Amino acid sequence: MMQTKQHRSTMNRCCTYRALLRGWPFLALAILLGSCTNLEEETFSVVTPDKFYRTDREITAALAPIYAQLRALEWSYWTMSQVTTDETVVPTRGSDWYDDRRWLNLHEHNFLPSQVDFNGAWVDLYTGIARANGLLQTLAEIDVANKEQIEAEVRLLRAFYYYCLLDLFGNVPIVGDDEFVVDPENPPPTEPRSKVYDFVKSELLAARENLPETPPLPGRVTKWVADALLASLYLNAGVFTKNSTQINPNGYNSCMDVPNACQEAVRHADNVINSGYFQLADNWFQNFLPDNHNSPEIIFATQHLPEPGLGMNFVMRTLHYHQLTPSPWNGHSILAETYNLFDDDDLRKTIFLVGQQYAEPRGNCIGRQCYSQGAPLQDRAGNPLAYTPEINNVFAATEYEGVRVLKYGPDPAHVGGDHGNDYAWFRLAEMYLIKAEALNEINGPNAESINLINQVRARVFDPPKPLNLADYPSKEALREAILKERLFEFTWEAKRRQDLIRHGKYTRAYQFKPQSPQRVLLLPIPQAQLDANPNLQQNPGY
Amino acid sequence: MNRMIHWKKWLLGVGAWLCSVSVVMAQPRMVTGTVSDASTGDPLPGVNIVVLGTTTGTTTDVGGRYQIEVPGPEAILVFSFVGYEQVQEVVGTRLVINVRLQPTVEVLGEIVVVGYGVQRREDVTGSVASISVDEINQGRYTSPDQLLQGRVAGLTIVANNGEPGANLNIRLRGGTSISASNQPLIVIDGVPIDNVPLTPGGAGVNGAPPPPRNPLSLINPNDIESITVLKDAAATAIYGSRGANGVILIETKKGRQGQLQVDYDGYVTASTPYRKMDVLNGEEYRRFVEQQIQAGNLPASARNVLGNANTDWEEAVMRTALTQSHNLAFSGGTSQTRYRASVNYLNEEGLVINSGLERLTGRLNADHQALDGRLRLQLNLTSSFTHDNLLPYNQTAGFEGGVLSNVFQMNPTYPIHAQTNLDGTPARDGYFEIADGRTSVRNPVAMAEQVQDFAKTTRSLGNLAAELDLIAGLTARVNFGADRAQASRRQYFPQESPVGNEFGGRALLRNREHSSMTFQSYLTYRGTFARQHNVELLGGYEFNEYMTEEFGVEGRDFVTDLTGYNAVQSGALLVKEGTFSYKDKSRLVSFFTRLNYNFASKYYLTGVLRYDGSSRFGEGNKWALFPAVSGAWRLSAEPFLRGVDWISDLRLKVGYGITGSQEIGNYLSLAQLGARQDLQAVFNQEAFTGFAPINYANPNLQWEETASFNVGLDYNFWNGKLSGTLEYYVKETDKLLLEIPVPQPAPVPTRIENIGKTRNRGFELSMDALAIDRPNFNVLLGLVFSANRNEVVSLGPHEFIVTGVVSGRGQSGNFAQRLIPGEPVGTFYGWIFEGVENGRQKFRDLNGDGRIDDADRTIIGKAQPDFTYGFRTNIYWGNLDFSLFIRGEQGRDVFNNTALVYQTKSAVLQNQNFLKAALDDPDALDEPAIFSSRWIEDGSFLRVDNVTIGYTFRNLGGVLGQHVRRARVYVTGQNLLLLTPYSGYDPEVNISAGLAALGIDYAQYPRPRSFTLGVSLGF
Repeated sequence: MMQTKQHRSTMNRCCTYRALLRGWPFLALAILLGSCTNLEEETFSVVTPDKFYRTDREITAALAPIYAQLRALEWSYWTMSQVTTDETVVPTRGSDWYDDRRWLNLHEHNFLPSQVDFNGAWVDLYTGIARANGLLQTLAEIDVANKEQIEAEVRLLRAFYYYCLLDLFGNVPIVGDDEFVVDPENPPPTEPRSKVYDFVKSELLAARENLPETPPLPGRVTKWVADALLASLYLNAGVFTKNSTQINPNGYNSCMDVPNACQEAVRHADNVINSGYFQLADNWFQNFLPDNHNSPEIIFATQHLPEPGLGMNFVMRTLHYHQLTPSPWNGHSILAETYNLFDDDDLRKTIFLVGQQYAEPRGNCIGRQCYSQGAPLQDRAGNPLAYTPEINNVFAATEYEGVRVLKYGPDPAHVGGDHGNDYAWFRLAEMYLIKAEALNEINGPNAESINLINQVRARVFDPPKPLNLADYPSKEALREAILKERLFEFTWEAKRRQDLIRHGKYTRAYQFKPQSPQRVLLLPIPQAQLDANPNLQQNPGY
Repeated sequence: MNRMIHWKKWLLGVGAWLCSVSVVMAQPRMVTGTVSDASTGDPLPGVNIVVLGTTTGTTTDVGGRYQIEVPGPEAILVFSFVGYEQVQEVVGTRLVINVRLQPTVEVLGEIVVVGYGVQRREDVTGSVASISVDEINQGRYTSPDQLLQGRVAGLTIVANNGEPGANLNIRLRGGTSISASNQPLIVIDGVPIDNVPLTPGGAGVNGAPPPPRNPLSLINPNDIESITVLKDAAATAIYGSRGANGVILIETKKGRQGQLQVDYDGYVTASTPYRKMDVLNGEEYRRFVEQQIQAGNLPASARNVLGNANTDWEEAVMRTALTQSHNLAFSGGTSQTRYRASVNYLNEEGLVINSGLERLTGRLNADHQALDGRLRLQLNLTSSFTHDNLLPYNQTAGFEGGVLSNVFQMNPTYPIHAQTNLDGTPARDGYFEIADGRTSVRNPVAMAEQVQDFAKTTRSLGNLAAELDLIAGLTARVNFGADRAQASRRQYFPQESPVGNEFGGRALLRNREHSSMTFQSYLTYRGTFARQHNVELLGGYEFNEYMTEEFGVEGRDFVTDLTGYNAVQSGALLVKEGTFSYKDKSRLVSFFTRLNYNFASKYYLTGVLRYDGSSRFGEGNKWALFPAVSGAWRLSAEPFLRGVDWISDLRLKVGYGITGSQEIGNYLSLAQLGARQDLQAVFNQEAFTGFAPINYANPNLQWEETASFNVGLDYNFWNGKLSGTLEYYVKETDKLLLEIPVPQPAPVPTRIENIGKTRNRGFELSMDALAIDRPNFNVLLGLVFSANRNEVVSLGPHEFIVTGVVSGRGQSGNFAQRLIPGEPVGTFYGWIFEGVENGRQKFRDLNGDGRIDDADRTIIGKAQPDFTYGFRTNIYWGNLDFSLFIRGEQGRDVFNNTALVYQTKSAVLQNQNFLKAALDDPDALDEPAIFSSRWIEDGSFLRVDNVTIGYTFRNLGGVLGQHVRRARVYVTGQNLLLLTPYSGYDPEVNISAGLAALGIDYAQYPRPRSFTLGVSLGF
């Protein structure tokens, strides 16, 4: 019995072996096909969204890029708001800054939908919106601590990007109302500017409810940012609710055109003014120096570090090649006629570089203090580097023509072109001036408005040079004064385009620009976007 | 037993013949018989048989049988057949004459390497060009691509510039793709090579990385046995998803049976600049400034910024560059085992100071046969070590430039060395600069000498193949290959240099590792059925895996320049910008089969199927099938051409097939979150890491598909005295992988989609002639000609795409080219220059609206040539040999970006030099440089590429003769003559200036003219 069993089992084993031997190519093939047709992608240095957004830290990391995109606006939104106005011109100097004439085209209001800068601004803004939408979509599906506050934070940032679109392009698509993603088959259509205005308004109001009074970390947004944005939105309601064809190009576009807008502008400005968290900096320069993150006046700023890619490069745009290491770009200047509007006694006029420049920059300085000592500098052609207000030929300027703007002083700790000064989108001073302007619309000139303006002026005149109510008999007169005050206060803070349009002065002729057509009150929808999205409509007149 | 029967038959036959002699004498009669192949015994159909001196003739039937009437016993029958030695038989009294033809040696030698196997030349139905080393001019080559340049119709190879080891742009029959790679697949000894840049990118002087290096330079040209170029889909479809741009198969030399052979090849080369760019010299510059001061265009103080020197900056950075190469190879073997081993050392100096490369390559090829030759094993191993000394220059430099743009702009009145800088600061390191850091124009000599930029690359490539004859006709082959490269990049920009000064010294360290693994296994069956039907069937599987890893570290703010990148920790600042790592991986899995069939070596049919799966594409789109079918008809084997004896061979080929391209990045079908430096936010004065979508996923992504049709005629007249190919092709690429803007809001502005279409149509001709063929005097002539018409057919939603970035100061945001449906890739687009009026440039107002703007731009040129050609001749006269190689391109435009930027007098306003030609331009001094048709030049050229004269010593007498098998000395001149109307350094340029941009020349590294003295010895 036993033997037979053993024998059989040996037999079996032998046959199994044989079968195996015979079958091995097929077995091998099967294994091979199984493992070697696997085409699943393995990721290593990137992650897929399904494996992310699980911890608080990951959520903060998803929040950071929405803030990071604000740095991009300091080039694109800023350029649109500055270079298309009488505040900033970038003359062609030899071949430098010719750049396919784009700088002069912007300045002269030769707006072509194909110009890369418009697409740059559009893409920069919508990239911020897409990042915000992505995070909002994720937040809707998960549970994290402080979810409502984070959601409000993201919505506020998204509203800010939409606010900029509303300002520049007006009629734009809205994504994020009920859908967070774009269906490429059915891309979002152009919405009328008034609808975009309503969307920004309701988003800001909603976000405001869940935002904290103090930021979780300095640099992140608070309730007061929503108020500041709302104040500005309402003040511009007379423009922001209208298509370019409806705006008065030659007269003031009042917030009174929109029910309650002026009152709301005052209310939200007051929210900030009375919040108790902000006060006007005694030293005006504190808002712009490399350590300006300490300024008590800043409501909403992009924080910067003197590190590659994280800094501010405004000094590079304006200074002459010989004024800093690395060599700056000798570009952006202020027009003589605008420069001449500044009062000689106004401290704010010292941000301008005019006349002979000297070799040694002082540490932590602003404007004309910076290059006032050491050996006199020369430009590259051997001329004394003495900036002149007049630019004789904007198409063929010398290196020393044009007054330079050094409002954000160079950071002695700068790395390459990256300086640590923060860039303020909203300061308390603007809340004062918004309130003054809105009150003027509601009531006409009164002591309260004048008082608000004088508070802003008090720190920049010694001896003081307050405005007198008596000098402003009409709404128009005070509007004019407020527009000037905003110029003096916010030069290079990307307010000028908005202000000029609101005041009906954007299309008027000035030194290097003839009278421009009404269409320029909105920028053209970029050609690349029209190509990509057939549901978009070009703005009127282009 | 059998043998006995044979003998008996033979004896009987002889007896019958002896008996019949007297009977049949002097009468016309019929002779019959069979003609067969002497090596295989197979009957040969279609063999020509004539009675010598008469017009009587016939051919063998499908069974190789024939019947012919002969006038008498003195008649001589001539048996001839292409590829076989001619045989003459005196008829005598025979009634049956069976003949066995010996294949000619040449035809045996004409074996062509094709995908996954070899074929007889005459069996190939696709468009295939092959080059063996013997055909190649015995000149100086540092990289295998140089062996192909201008030798294959339809193949263009352009090195980016004259920098040693510069990257190549290889195009076969025009580019098919716009966004994806257009480089052909390169297969070395059966292993497909992942032709990715190995050298990590660096930070250029102005942030842009210098161009990638030539990845093919790892192969020692002396090791190459043959190169085959597969051109049409019929030939490349076996490589399926990677065949769309053609395939280049490189086989390396194998050992041969016999006693040990040692070969030494060495050369020394001296290179000089071919041409100089004419800028103002110091005197001329001073004179010009003086004139402008007198004219009131410059202030008198402009004299203050002039120097006293007279420096030719171009000459100061150029040199006579020496190159030396030494190659030693051993080979030998028994009937079972053969080997070949070689080692090569190359040291190539660049034309510009402080640049060049040094390379050491080793190779071992061995094969072994076992089981009576049924099992064949083969090992190929190569390893190369390259050390690049790179020059800090950028091809697309803007406002600040590298060494080469500063050659043009640096003021010639300034010295190279000085104690103080122009601004009075002490000169660092003794090099004169305009200012200590605060300047964008820099001393190019200082930059070349101070900036350290080195790359080291070690690449090892090996494969092991085993081939086993299973049963008669059936062979199994397994091939396993691995390719591994490690490359490092080290850069240091010292504080002493204005380039590094702004960072307090800057060190970058980068390491890249690239590996790929290939496994192939396939079965080949060869057989003949019913004597006429020849079949070869192939089926197999292939697996490829690719992996790349890289990391980089950047340090700044160094206490001392002495340690540089060797002690990056001594930098006070480690910068996130340059500190990173990444890894990616991809797979390609394939099944393939091919059937080659021919009937009686007259009608040929080939069918190919490849089923490819790539990890790069979206779920559901990972797999695709690539078919091809082709056929050939050997006209010369037909009766109607039989009598035409000067036609040795004439074959008509037709093929159609579909191939693909998958040369896009990894993971594009996946939504990816990445942590990039620009995604960081600053909160509370601290940087916070950001993770955000870094692509716009396209899960529908699939292959680019190229359908190609080819018709060709292979001809061979007068027994090989004149041979070649005529071909016409149409290639249509569909589902083009194109980066297109996506509707906003989107996390990134563009994504890759399968949209758009391109077409290439063309004609190719190649001709080889043996013009003189005498025992001691041979003249060979070769000609290739091709004309390709490229067209962008559709760009999806785009009316056009702008590309071709214009470089230089004041040029940002400007583009020189557009991709436009209906026009070829490389179409220049801009304003039409109408002259200079009152010092200002005038452009044509096309729409007559009184303004010059976007609407006035139009097509102003095209970069792709009307036709290209190559001509070569080899002359052998006794022991002397001479070869000449000329190539050229006709009807092409080049945008001279160098002239746009540097032929502008306004440079003097910035204290910068300019090209002398600007002196004659009527432009005002402050007129900016504006891109227009003014700067589009005719870039047609004819280049005498290579002239070699050699002398071979045979039968050396004496002691020397006992040891030296052969000896040859030669001199070679390269780039001896360039005939072109183009005014820049060289019209053959390829800078990467954006999507599919072609023909833009900007401050390139010049191509040298060189003279070589070389020797080869065999022991």
